[in-house]
Amino acid sequence: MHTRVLIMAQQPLPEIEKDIIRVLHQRGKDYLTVRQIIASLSTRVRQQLSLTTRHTTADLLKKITPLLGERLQVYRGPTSTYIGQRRSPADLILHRVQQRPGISPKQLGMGLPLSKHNYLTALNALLGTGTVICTFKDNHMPMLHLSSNTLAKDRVQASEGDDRSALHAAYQAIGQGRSFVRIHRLRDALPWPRARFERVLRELLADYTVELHGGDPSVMTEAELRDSFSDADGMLYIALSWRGQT
Amino acid sequence: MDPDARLDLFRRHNPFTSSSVGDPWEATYPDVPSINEQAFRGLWQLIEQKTRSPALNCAGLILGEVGSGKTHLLGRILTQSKQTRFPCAFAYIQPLEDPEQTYRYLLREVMVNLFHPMEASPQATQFRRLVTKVFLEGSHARQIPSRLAVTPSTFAAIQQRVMRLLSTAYPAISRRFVHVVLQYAVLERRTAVMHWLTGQVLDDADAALLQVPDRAQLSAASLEEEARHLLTSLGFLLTRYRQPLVICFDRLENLETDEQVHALGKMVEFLVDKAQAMLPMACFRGMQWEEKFRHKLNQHVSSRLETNKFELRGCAPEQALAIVRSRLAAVPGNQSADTLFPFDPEELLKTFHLGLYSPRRVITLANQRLRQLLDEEPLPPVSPAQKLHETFASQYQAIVRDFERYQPDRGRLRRALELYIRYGPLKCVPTESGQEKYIDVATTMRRARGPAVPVIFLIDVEQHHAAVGACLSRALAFLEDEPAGRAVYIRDARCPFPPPPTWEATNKKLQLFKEYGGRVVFLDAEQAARWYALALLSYAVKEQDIAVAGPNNTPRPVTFEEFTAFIEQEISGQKTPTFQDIEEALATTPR
Repeated sequence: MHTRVLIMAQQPLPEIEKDIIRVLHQRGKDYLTVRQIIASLSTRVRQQLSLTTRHTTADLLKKITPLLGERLQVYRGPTSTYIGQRRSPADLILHRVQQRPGISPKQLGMGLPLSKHNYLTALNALLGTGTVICTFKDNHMPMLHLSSNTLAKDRVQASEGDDRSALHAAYQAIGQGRSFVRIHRLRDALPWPRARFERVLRELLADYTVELHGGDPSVMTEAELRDSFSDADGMLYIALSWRGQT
Repeated sequence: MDPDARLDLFRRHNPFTSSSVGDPWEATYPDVPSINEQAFRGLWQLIEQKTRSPALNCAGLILGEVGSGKTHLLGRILTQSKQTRFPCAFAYIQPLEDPEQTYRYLLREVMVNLFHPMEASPQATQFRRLVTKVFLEGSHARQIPSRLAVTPSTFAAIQQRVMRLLSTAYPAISRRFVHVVLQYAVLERRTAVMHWLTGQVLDDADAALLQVPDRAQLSAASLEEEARHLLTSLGFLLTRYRQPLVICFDRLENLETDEQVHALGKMVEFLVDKAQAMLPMACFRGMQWEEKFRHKLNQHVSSRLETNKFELRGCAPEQALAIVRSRLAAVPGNQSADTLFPFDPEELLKTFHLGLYSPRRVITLANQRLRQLLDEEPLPPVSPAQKLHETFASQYQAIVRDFERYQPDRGRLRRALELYIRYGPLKCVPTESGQEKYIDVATTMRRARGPAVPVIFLIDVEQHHAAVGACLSRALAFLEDEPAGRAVYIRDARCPFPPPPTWEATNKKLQLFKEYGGRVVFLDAEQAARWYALALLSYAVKEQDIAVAGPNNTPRPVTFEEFTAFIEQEISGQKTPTFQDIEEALATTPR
């Protein structure tokens, strides 16, 4: 018994933060309930941390919170407790409204991991500054949108600094809702040197934000093939799917 | 077992040599449930919903790039179904060739799948499971009889009861369909029943045995209508006995013409809107779906499919390790061994940590690493021709083993013939390809120092003398118009051509055809299997399922040009005698 304890004590703590971020990326979510997060961890990690379904959510949180690191946080919603990417309530709202322009305030609130009070405070602040605007449908139903200023600012920020966001914006603009976007078209849309494009792509690959696909090279021109992507082993990839968040 | 002995085990049974499933009925590789788990769960929920509400109008769409596990996922559905209390029925359908026969093709392929053995016994089929349930209800029995055979008197009583029950519950059900289905229990009629249900034209004796009218008298449109009616009637049976039929359309990149794509759309629309308890699932490569097929299909169909869209995803590192672990564990003699031996888990994890890899890529990388660990030289590069030769041989063996599943198919025979005509030694450009009712391929052939001669090929799988006679009449008319031309009449020998005195007028026509210089080729089982194997190989090439080592030893798909070179060098001539009868027929001088 003593020996067993000793062996367990010597094992390094698992990289929970990284594991959870990977799960969130894979599922394309900003946050999941605590129980969903625990269930998605590997058996090895669950055993190491003694996390079982018998524990209450509060117990689970007690064990896991110290391991969450800088990039994750606990959210307490009206009915459940969540773990997700560290974002301010305003960011959560902006992100969701950008994803679903026209969403009603009620629907928006129900889908966010925020208490009613926190949610309405953040939303009112955004309405006050004009970052988010509210219009009404024929049936008087309110609809939320990002203001044109916010959208324009997003685009500028993306083009100026955030390469990942810029690539994501290009993916959305070219794909228009499609899940498989040709890599050469992304290169066309982004006026970057090859090295920069490939560095960003490798970063996105490494944290499982994107997935690359082979395809049928026989239907492509030489230039299109050249502007696709080959990995370190020389494997040719033609298309890209966005799996996680920017 | 000591480590050296275990390494020897992997030398004898390398579990990573193949990464292609090919056919869910023959899936042999272990499953890793966590891979594409979300997609599978969604698909299975759809099946469960369809079980609860057979009239639910829905379809499924599976999108995944090469090697992402589309066909494997279908195999998982089949396996899951076998393990549940309320199993669904399953049909795996390869691309349709002849849009004129859309519903007949669908009926035939559905029935062939229902007749496919599920276990070691050839008797244990999905169809038998269904018929057993019908009999159970008709006989008020409480237990499923171990042998599905009844005496004439009980049969009559059951027939009457079942007919009444089903007609009352489903007034639109075909009484003839029910009548034939029940006769499956009569051993001496079983083969005829299976032929009729797959849409074949029965000879007079079998038609009389089953008391069904002569299909040869029906026009193509009527046969299509009949096939629809039989499928909807089958849907009623599946509804009553809670066995929804999952119909998986795979390798759809091989649909080349707009007509073929529209035919797929017709099938999906029919299965969603008209037939109960049938759930179509279409598998496409993601990019091809988005860039090509969704725009070619009627919006009604594409939106139906996209409502339940499941995208297959690459493996996270843990999942990649799980694939490796499961394949190692499947090596005979290694079951109780420590799970990732001989790999170093940390090193393997590092390999798979660089991104989301497709299952096929995981297996390829594991194979490369295992060979290093076994101190084996990297595999000598396999040439595309050799790879195609091996795949062709294994496809041929699979067909020979299970010939019933590959029913006489004019469209597939035409595809094989056309490949030979275009890319074999003749190098002819077909001027006619299935557009004319009886002529499958027409071309012009030029022999050394001779004038160009027109040649036609007529492929016939009809089984009624009138239909066969009409085909021969067309061939005779050609030879009358083109005395220097050549006509080759080709028939899958499984479609009998009875000698006189049966089919007297048809035999006379055949004789006359020969006298006019026409050539007759009856494809025996071996030759027919090779033709079907070539057609299916062309699907696999197009699907990019066949790969060889490319630069830096990374896999690359075999190209269509390499496939055509294979046809020229290997398929024609003596190396793989596939078209020798055609070569002989064309080599002989006409009258």
